[in-house]
Amino acid sequence: MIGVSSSNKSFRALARYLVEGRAEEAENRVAWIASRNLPSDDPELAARIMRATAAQNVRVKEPVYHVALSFDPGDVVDRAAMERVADRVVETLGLQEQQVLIVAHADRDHPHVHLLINRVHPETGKVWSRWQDYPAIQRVLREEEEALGLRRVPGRFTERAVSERDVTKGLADDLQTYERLVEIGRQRYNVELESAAAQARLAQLDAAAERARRALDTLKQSLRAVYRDPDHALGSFLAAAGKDPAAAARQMQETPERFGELLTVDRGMGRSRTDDSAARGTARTAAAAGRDVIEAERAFRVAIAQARNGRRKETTDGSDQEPADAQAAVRADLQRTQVSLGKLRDEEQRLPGLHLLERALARGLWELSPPEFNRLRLVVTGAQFGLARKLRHMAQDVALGRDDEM
Amino acid sequence: MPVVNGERRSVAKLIRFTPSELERVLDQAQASGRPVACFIREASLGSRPRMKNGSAGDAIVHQLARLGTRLRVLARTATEQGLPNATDFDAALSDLLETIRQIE
Repeated sequence: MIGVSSSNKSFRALARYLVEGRAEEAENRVAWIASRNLPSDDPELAARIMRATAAQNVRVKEPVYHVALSFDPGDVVDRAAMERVADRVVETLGLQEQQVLIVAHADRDHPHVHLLINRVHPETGKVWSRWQDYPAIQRVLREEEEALGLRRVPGRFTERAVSERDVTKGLADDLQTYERLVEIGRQRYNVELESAAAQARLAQLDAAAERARRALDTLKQSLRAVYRDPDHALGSFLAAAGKDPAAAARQMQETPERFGELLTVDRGMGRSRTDDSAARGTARTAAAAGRDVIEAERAFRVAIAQARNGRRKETTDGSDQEPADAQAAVRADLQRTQVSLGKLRDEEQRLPGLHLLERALARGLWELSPPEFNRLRLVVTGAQFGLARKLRHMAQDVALGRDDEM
Repeated sequence: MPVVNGERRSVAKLIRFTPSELERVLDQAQASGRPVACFIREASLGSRPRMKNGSAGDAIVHQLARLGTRLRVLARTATEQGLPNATDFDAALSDLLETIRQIE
């Protein structure tokens, strides 16, 4: 259990908050309400009576004493058990004759009750002092955890065998682990992004290479129907296309004989004649295939350039691979990111879960007294101490059942 | 100790009252919502301490609440023991709470 306390000025405001919360929280917020030394359990009326009683003391500035008792989410507690703990706290603090309104909430995973207590005694008009209330509350909670078989919250009021230094050291270690877990999460995110980018680059390169290969196959097939030596013709065409792609394609269509000897057919009409019209007709198809090859090669080179640019952004080796190496380089990138990812995942699995650790840390930090918490500053880095402050604040919000709502 | 115009209130003066005078002073101090010493000092130095808002109502509510608390205990005991007039206690308590609600 966790217990926290505070002083306030207005009974009415706190009673209203305990019943209604914020506008969207009113539904099913209150599980049950009880009172001590009051004629009614009606929170509004109780607040009015408490205000009237507090007015009998003209000196008190903050007559409202608020205690929030939170059980662990795993604790199975009924109303009787919660009332028992509340009564024990009230009795231990010497407030058994004071007016008390007990409001149990059912709006969180963890069962919790709020005690709205009038610091002004209803008969004597004397004001109860909060001095040393925190240790008293903690002692009662530890005793009741033992008595009711509830989850024990480690704290400085029971674990006296553990020295303060050990507690601080443990928290410092946990903070370091927590910081590392956050860093791993950040690194994992970056590596996953890098891996996705490498996969996209590889897919783009593979698609461009496949397109170039298919276009080349089609061109070779066409050239076999045009030239006696198609390999030589292909070499000549590619050489010409390297200088002026548009002119090479046009020449293939209009003057295919520039790239090699055309295939001919014998026409026996009394005298021997050769006919290359079929080859010239097919050369038009070959020219179209040639354009495809030129276009596919260009797209492949663009993909390689893009892959290079992408790699330059992510790597600092400054290497400038040949086109043929581009795919291999991107595959190597992909493999490298997968290895990094695997290492990060392994490290993450060896450490405790982030949320579990966060919760344990928040609770441990909340248990520290202000001087102990300040001493933590001496053994952790500035960033870790900032983190500790945030977690401690978070635990306070949870304990008060407000989760940044008050 | 508060500092007023650069001076501390470090000097005390014993004043004698008749019992009835003291009772009136205490009543007026309470009605003004000030501690007795503060009330006497302010009144004797010429200011007129104002009445605290709702102090009369608060006093009545406080007294009724004291009665109501005792009545509630009686009502609960009567119900638990099955006394024949248990419901009368409940009714009386309800009336009393309604009265408190009507006091501003």
